[in-house]
Amino acid sequence: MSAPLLQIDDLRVRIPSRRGEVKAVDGLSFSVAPGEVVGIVGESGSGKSMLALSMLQLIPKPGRITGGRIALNGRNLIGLSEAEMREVRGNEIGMIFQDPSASLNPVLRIGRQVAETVEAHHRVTPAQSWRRSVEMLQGVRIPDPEARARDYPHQYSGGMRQRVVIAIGMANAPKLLIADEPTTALDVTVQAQIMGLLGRMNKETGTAILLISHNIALVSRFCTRVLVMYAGRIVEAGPTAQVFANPEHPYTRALLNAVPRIDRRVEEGLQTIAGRPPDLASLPAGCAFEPRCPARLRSCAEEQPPAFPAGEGRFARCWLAEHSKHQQGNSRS
Amino acid sequence: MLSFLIKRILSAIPTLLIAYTLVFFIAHATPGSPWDSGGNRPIEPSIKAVLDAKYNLDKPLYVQYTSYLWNALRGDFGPSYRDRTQSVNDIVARFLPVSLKLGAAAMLLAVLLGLPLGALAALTRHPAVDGLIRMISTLGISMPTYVVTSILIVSLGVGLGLVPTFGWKGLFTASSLVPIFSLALAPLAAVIRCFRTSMLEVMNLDFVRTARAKGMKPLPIIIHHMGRNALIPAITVAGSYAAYVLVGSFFVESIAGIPGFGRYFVLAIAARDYPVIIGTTLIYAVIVVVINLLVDLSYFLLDPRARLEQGR
Repeated sequence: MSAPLLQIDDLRVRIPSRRGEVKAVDGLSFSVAPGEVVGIVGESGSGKSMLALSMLQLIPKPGRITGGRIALNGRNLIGLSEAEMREVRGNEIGMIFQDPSASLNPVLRIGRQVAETVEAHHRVTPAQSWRRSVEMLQGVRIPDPEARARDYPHQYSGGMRQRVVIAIGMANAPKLLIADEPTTALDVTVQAQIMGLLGRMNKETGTAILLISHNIALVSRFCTRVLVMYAGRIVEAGPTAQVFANPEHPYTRALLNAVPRIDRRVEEGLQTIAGRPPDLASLPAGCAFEPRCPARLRSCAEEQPPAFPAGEGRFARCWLAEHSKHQQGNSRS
Repeated sequence: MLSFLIKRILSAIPTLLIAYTLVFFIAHATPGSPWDSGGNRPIEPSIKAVLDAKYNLDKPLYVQYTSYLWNALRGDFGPSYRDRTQSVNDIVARFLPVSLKLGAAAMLLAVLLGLPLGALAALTRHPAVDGLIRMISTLGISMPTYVVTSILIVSLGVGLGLVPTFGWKGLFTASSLVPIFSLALAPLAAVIRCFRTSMLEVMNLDFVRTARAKGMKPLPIIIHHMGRNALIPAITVAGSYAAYVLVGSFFVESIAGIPGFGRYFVLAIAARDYPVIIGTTLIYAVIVVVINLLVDLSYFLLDPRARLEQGR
């Protein structure tokens, strides 16, 4: 395998609060290869967005990164000065946020908002950055980009605004694009267009995409690899098709069950995951999913499961994964 | 945009007419006459009758009302009763520029100082800096101008001898410092307070985070993304102060000895100098209307969404 573009090791993000330190990201490790499309799924409050913000070091105060390594092309971003981090933001790592209406400044022209991303990283004249901005708008399929660049966000539809946000994220052709819930605020038909656009960007420019979403269907269609996040940790990871077809971790299974399915009768009801996500300020000593887990063992509450390998490029943080491995081993012998 | 402008200018006409009507009847309804000298020698009734006849004060009120309005429309606001050698136009030409200059300088100071201080108070990580700026702003709002003017004259003029204690020698002299600072303090405090609040609201909005994710430097983010959006409430507040700062303050001008419009206005009321009262009130009303129009126009400039709503 080629050298990873992004390598995160044992990342920890803490947010001090009145109830104690919230462990938003708790010893999390993964890597992204150049040009790869990786999905991160999990419930609200599992630390997905904090993880995204920590890569740009834009965690809202008083939260902070307390440990670990975020290496981009081998260079550790943690410990960089604010000025060095500014060089990374929008240039080496692009970011797309959830709500396109709120992500754009209502009083600045669309073209200006794309252009200033270019200007933040290149010595260009306003005319040059404007031209680049129009090019980018054309690239995200804004009709009549020359004229529409002079419009303001309120003159755009939601889907077009998200295209603009993508244009901003891609303006400097970053190696990595982080998309945090890029389609949550959009209509289903528009969602498909936006995901198609992101896919095209990935193929044409070779930009790796980290797609953060709670939409399992979206991730399964779009990502080659998936990371399942729970309580600030990755509980299962592997190729999307295998993980979703054959989940090892009970949490992944529960997530998949909670996806409403069109072929299931309404009378059967919508499946939910029993219980609530754990309080990140006081995590249990054992597995964080144990209180909600339908398959818990006695040891689960006592000891945190390590990442057990579960096939090619797969792992699961669950004692059951250890058992299943033993069974595989036994049957083979 | 143009239709909005025309609409606003047309709507100013009834506003000014109402202002004229109100001030005309209130002025005439106040007891006493312009010829009361206020001394212990009452004026001879025959002389009073001659004066009344000369200035049409013996005519019925509605005749006076219409004839004054007719003259005013042609730009003639009549003579001053108190100082009969001067017309109201002369008085306005002599006193208004002084107040306008001082007021404009004060507003400029209030905005140029208020916006950075308000932004600093909102963005600083040191609670002490925020606390200090907020203290200045609370003081500025709560202290009446006559106290501020007196304190400044006593400290800077009497104590340190840096500025004259009384009188007016022009805008670019030491004599203008005390009135400018006294006039500026209230609008300065208001601008700081308002801008601080709106910056605090804006700084956590999503598009500011987007701007940071673009890798922009802090100053452009503060100016283009936070400032532009936080400016509208501050401009509105500054506009509401501008009208009365520009026409001058009776207290500041009286205490600092400035021959200005605000002081003359109050003296004219005391003297029942009808033409001066009405003329100066109308000027005041025009200034208020013009400033409101400018504030509205600034919305167009600052917020494209306003263009969409009202431009049609």
